[in-house]
Amino acid sequence: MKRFVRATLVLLSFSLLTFACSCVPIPENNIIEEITPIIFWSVQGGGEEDGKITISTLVPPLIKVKKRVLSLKVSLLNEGNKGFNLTYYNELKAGQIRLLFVDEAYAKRGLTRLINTVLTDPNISQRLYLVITKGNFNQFLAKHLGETDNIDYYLYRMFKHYEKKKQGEITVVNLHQFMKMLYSQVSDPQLPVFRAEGEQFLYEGTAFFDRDSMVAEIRGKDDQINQLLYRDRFVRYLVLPDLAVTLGHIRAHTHKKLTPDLSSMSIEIDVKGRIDELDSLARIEDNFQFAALTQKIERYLEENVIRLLSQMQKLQIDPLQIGGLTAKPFSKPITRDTWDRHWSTMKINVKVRLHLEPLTKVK
Amino acid sequence: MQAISLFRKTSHQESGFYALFLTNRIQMLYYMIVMPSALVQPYMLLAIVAMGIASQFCLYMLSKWFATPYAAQGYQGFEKLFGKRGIKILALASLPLLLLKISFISISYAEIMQQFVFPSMDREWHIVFPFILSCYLALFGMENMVRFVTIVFIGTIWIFFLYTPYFLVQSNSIHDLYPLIPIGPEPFAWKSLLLVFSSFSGPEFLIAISYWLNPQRKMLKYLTIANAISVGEYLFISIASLLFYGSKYLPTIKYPNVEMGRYLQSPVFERVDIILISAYSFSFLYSIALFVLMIYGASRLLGKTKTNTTLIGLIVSGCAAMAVTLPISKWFWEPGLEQSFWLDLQMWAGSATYLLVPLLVWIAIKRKARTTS
Repeated sequence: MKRFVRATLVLLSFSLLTFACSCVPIPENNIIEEITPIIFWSVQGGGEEDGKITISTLVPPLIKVKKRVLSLKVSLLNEGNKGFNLTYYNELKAGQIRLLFVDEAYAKRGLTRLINTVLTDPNISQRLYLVITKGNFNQFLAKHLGETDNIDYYLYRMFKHYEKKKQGEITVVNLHQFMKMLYSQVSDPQLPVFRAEGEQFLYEGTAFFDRDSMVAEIRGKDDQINQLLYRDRFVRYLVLPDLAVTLGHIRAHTHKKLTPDLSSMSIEIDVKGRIDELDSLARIEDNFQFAALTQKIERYLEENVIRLLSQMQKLQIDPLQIGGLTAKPFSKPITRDTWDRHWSTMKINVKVRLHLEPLTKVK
Repeated sequence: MQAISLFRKTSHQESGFYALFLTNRIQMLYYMIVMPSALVQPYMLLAIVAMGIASQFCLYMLSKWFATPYAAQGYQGFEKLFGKRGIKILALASLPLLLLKISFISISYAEIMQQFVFPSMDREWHIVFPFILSCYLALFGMENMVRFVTIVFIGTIWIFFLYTPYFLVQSNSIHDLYPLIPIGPEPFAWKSLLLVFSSFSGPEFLIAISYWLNPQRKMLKYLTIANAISVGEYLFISIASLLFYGSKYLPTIKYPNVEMGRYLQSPVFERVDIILISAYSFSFLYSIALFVLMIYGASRLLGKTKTNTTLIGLIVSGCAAMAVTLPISKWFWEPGLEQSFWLDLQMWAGSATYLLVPLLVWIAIKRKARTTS
């Protein structure tokens, strides 16, 4: 009996082991010398010839070797990824990808397909930064092929820097934030826009999206105001060339309030900061003049906020996530159509309150 | 073959805390597996609270069992309550439930492991290795296992604090938590309710090990605390994920709390989720070990109980569990339809046992009290 039990046991465990071993553990080969992690993908074109897109990247990152731009014309994003592997001696790994540059023309046709591809890849982090580019991005890359020119890494560091602690100079949006904005019932996403020009990569402003396709772009002071309005932000400099004033170290607290029938909205913005620059600082001699200047800036900001918002209303987009405010604890969430209808005709009241540090030390 | 006694009991100290930790850990097992299909609407937060209260009711009945002298007597206690035949029927009935629970837990965990940590490795490997580890754990015997739960609890409770950053993310707004009550023609969420209830299930298996818990009258206090901690953890993680994803984006994600772990960043180690998943394995391994021991115990009840426990017996129990789990994983666990079948099955089985087992025991105690008085 005992022998029988023992024999059964040995047989059972043996068969179980072979059963398990029939599925061979094949680990991915990740020896550091044999792989090349990449930092970004850039996607251009699409639509013109049978929906092909050009995808490119820069290899190798960080090592002090002459770099090269890999570029392929493909119809699917991962087809490009595979193609890169066939043209380069190392295996490219998407696990370290940090940036996704998308051409403006592509963004105007809708980003969903592209984003879904990136999103489903379990290797790619949700912290991937999304950027809209203009101009010839590949040419810009080609100018940065030097041995010490880690342009890919520096670009990543730049986004990282401005994202951290909400530095408030440029708009920074990562994949997760974009998806959350896209999925929220009534609101639309926004993304930063950069222009590649020769050797330079210039920040242009913020792109507004209608669902997943880019519809508008704002720059300069509109962009600054957008950054103030979108959540409570810190802005290093608020430059107002029309008034010849620069406000510095701005902290804005925005209170948005919708009336229950959605016919009007009031925005109160408390701006704290100081005057960093004026065509002549000494021009302000007494409190009266200081108050007058403050009031002038307030009126100016109010006008610009209203202009920016009415631009959004005209396009029926909501990049500031105002529609989110319609959610109430005990009532049904409204549909996109209802919100669009109300939003486009909504009356907007804006009140800006400036709290500026008084000027000292100036003559 | 060396004789080992897995089910010996040597000490008689107070052990309310073991019951607390055990209840809490077994209740928290399901969360990361089950949550995505259960709690996608903000008002389902109320379901957690409601089911927590329902679970408290079951725990109350359990505590009645712990308060009787039978609980401390082990096998003799059961024999007095149900009779020899009754025990055999119960043991026979518990075997498939235990096997189902083990299979469901280990395959789901293996799937997460495979998807996030070792994508190119077959899932079966993630089942075989944890099983070997669990059997090793089980070797130390029931008494040590019960004590070990303290370490498991301390080793996994910190995961809870990892989710605090999600309350502070910039893109959060309180409006993501609205509406708080279901409005309009929503499909009735009884299935989700059942799912949440089955997530709270598990403590009913404590009946089987009550002998080692040195039960006493104050057990209800510890069970209540454990239940409250579980409700708190569930609420905490659900609110965090609702705030982080919003109620429209959340349903599209299969393992929200693992994906959230991926979003965490540490300056030293980027893939925080790998640490997180590995830490989760602590309580998974522990419960599998516990259940394997229970399978062995139950199968002993079916045969001869007088003989000593043997290593072979334990290994056979482990192999039996593995022999059920591996084929399910290999042939009957395709993502999608079949997976949701197992989820449904486990959901029904878990809820049913959680409701019926304490009820059964309670009724048996009442009947016994009436016949003896």
